[in-house]
Amino acid sequence: MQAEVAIYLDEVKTHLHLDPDTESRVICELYSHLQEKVNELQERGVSELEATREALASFGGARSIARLTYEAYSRGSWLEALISCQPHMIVAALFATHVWRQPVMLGAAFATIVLIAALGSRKGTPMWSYSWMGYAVFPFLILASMSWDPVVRTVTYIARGTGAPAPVWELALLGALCVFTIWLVASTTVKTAKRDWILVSLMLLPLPVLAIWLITVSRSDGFVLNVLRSFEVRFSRWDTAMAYFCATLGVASVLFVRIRQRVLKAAAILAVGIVGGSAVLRSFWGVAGVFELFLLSLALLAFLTSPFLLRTVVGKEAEPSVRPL
Amino acid sequence: MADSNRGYDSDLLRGNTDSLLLFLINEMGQAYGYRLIKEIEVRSGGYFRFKEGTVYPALRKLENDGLVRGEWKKLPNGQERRYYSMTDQGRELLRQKLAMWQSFASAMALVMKPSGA
Repeated sequence: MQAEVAIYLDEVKTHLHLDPDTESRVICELYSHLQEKVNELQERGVSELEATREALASFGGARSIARLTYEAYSRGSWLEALISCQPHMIVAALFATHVWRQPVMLGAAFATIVLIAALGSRKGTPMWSYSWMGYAVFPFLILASMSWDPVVRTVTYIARGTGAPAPVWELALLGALCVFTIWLVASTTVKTAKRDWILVSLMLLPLPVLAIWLITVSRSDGFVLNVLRSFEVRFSRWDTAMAYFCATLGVASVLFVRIRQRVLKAAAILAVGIVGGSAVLRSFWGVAGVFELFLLSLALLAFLTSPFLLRTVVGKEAEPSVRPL
Repeated sequence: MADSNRGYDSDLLRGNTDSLLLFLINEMGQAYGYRLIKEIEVRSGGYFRFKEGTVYPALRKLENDGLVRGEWKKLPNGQERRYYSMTDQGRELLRQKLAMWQSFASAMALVMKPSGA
């Protein structure tokens, strides 16, 4: 019995996409049911093999049971939906009020976001925490992007044999920051992809637009100088578009938490990510043609669905489906 | 939730699964998934047959809605089993559903009575 049931439960588990604790409770309940059914059939004189097959046949297809179970568990409460949309609203407010130019307010906002993301991670990464995690990596990306140039310049100087332009410990620190950021983003993404690729898409939803915005702002004298120039108006014209974009992402994350069906969850974040992202990037670059807009949408679609490919590459952690008795 | 080709529209049973589960849990005091399925099968004379795995998502939805309460219990053989019991909210909803069902069934019977009878 054990082998066939284990294979069946493994298939259910592969398609559950729930957090590990919930998954193991679900699998335990299903296992208990199948064991009881097999025992009952065996008491009636059916062989173990036949009893197992009959129990599995009457239980239903593994994928369909996994889908129904996912739908039963995947709907978060309104409170969770509200918490999930908060980081989007905080960043939207930073743009709407142009407060992102005030280092103290910007720092305080992102410190709060990082803190709540870490708290969510400690609580077993509930569904609401993924939107916080997406923004939590952003300050590290800013720091890494600021460190990148000095590090590359130093490596070039050393290669030319002209010596380092800054103290070595400073450069080592900056290099370590870049490595840490890459590790943070990669490990969080891979860990999340093992659970469900849609959660990675949810997490990365604001990243392409924020990254392009950051690159655009940094190109002109660097991010820090632009933050400090509180009267600089060149970039203010994008603030409204960014605020609308982040607020729309907030709505998408509410839908994501409240919708039961996986396919609709994916559709909600892809639609908002692609349409909203294209609209904002169009205002950045002044893209006007239909073909250019199509290419932009295609690039965003490829980015947001790339976690699906990652999921197939990294697979799912091999864990025993049945809790030891 | 119900098998097709059972002589009834499976949507009809699907729409009443919650009522069946709530009624049985209420009557049995505490019940677990497998016992509920067996009870439905026995009481309906084998008429209602479920794909058994579908009862757990249904129970989970009831639990999410605060209508039943789930609790793990360890059996003497070391195995764990999840038992479901009613909440006050579940009892109230069941009372309403029963009243509605009785009125509905009576009205259906009155309308669908052959005219010559």
